[in-house]
Amino acid sequence: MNNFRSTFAALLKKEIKHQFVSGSGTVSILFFTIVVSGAFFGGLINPGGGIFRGIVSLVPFVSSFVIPIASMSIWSVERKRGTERLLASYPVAPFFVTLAKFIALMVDWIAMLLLCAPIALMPGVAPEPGILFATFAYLILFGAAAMAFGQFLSGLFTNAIAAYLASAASMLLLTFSQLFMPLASVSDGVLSALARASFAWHLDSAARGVFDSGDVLFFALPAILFLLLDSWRFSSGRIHK
Amino acid sequence: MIEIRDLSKRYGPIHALDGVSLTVHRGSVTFLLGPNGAGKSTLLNIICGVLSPDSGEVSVCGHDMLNDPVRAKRSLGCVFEDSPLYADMTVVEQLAFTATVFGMGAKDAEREIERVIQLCDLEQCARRGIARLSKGTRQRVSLAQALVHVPKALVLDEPASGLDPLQGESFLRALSSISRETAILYSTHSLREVESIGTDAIILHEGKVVESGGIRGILDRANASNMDEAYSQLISAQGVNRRE
Repeated sequence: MNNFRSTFAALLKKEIKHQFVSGSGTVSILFFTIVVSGAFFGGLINPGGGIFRGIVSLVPFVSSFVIPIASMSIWSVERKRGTERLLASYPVAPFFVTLAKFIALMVDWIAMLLLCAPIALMPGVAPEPGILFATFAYLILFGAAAMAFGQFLSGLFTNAIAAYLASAASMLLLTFSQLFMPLASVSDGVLSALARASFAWHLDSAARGVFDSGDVLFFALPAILFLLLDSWRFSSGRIHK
Repeated sequence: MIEIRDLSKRYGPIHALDGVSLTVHRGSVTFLLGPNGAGKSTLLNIICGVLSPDSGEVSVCGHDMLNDPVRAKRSLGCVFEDSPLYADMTVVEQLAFTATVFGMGAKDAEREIERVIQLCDLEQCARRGIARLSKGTRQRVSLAQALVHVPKALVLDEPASGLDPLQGESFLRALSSISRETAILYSTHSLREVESIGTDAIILHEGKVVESGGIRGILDRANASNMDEAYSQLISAQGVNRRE
C-alpha cells in the first residue's frame, strides 16, 4: 500500500510539474483569471439576471478556450516524444496513470476557480451561502467533465495544437447548444437533446439555486466515461507511437 | 527469464509476428536480429507490455504479461528505440522518478541511482537537464533508468545506434557487467555487438523465427566463420525459399 501511495504520488508530482513547466497550467490559470475578473471589473457582465448568474454563465464560454489550453499537451507531448511507451512499461495499472493526469488538470481548474472566488464575495454580487456552495460544486463537476474530455482528446493526437482545436470546437458547440432551446419546443427531437446537452443551461440552474441530481449526473457521468475511455486507449496499446 | 509462446500480431493484412516462441535465460545476452520490418520492435514492445498481441503468451520471471502485467513489469527493464525520456527532468530526477514508480524505498533508490550513474558513466551530467544532453548520453540515461530498479530481465531495442565507437564500447561494457545476473534480450543491426558480448541469437524474418540458439551453434549450422556471414546466408535463403 505504501509502495502504491509513493508510486501514485510520483506520477502526480510529474504531471503537476509538467503543467507548470510546459506552460499549459500557468497560461490557462492566468488567462481564465484575467478574462473573468476583467469582464466583472470592466462592467461587461449583464446584471439582468443578477451579477452572480452573469459570472456563472460566462464560465462555460471562457472555459471553452481555457480548459483546452490546460489539457492539450497532457498526452500529446508524451505521444510525440515517445514517453507514452515508457509510461506503459511501468508497473502501474493504466487507470492510475490516467487518474494522475486528470488530478493534475483538476489542480489547474480548482486554482482558476479559487483565484476568481473573491469576485463572488464582493458587495452586490454575493448570493446566499447555499447557492454559492452549490455553484462551486457544480463548477467543479463541470470542470471535471471538460478536463476529462480534453484529456481523452489529447490522447488521440501527437500535435498539441490539433488537440486544442478539437477540444475547443467541441466545448464551444456544447456551450452554444443552449441557443437551440427556443427551437426545442417546436421539435422535441435532436434539437431538444442538443439544447439539454448545453453546459451553460445546466450551470444556470445552479446559479439560480436549483440543485438537481440530473445536473450532477450530467457532469459526473461524462467525467467518468472519458476517464475510462482514456484509460482503455492507453492500455490497449493501439495508439502508442 | 523471458518466455514467449506462439506470439502473433497483425497490422491489418500484415503479419508482424507469426507464431513466435523463444526463451531468454538468466545469464545470457540474446541478440534479436533481422532486417527492417522483420517484427523486432513489435516483439520487444509486446514483451514490455506496451503493445497487446493478438494471441500467444509472454511471461517475465514467471509472471504473465497479459494477466499479471504489474508484477511482470516490475521484473523487467526496457530501453526503447530513440531513448524516450522526460525532457523537463534532470538525469537524477528521471532516475529517482523511475525508481519510485517501481516501488523502491528512498534509501534503496538513492543507492541504486548512485550505482547506475557510475555504471553508465553519467557522473559528469547527473544534475543536467535531459533536454540538453547529446544523443549518446541520452541512450546511457535510458539504460540507467532501465537498470535502476535492478530488473531480472532487460529488453533493449537498438540501444547503441548513434553512439560513437568509444561510447559504444562503454555501453557494451556496462551491459556485460550485469549480464551474469540478468536475462538480456537485445535487438540490433550491428553484428559486431553480437560477437563482442552475445551468448545466443534469434533471427527474425517477416515475423517468424528462422534461426535461434547459441552463437557457436548458429555459426556451425550455417558453416560460417562469423555472424556477418551466417546472417547473410540465412536471410538470403529466406528470400530464395519465398521465391520457390
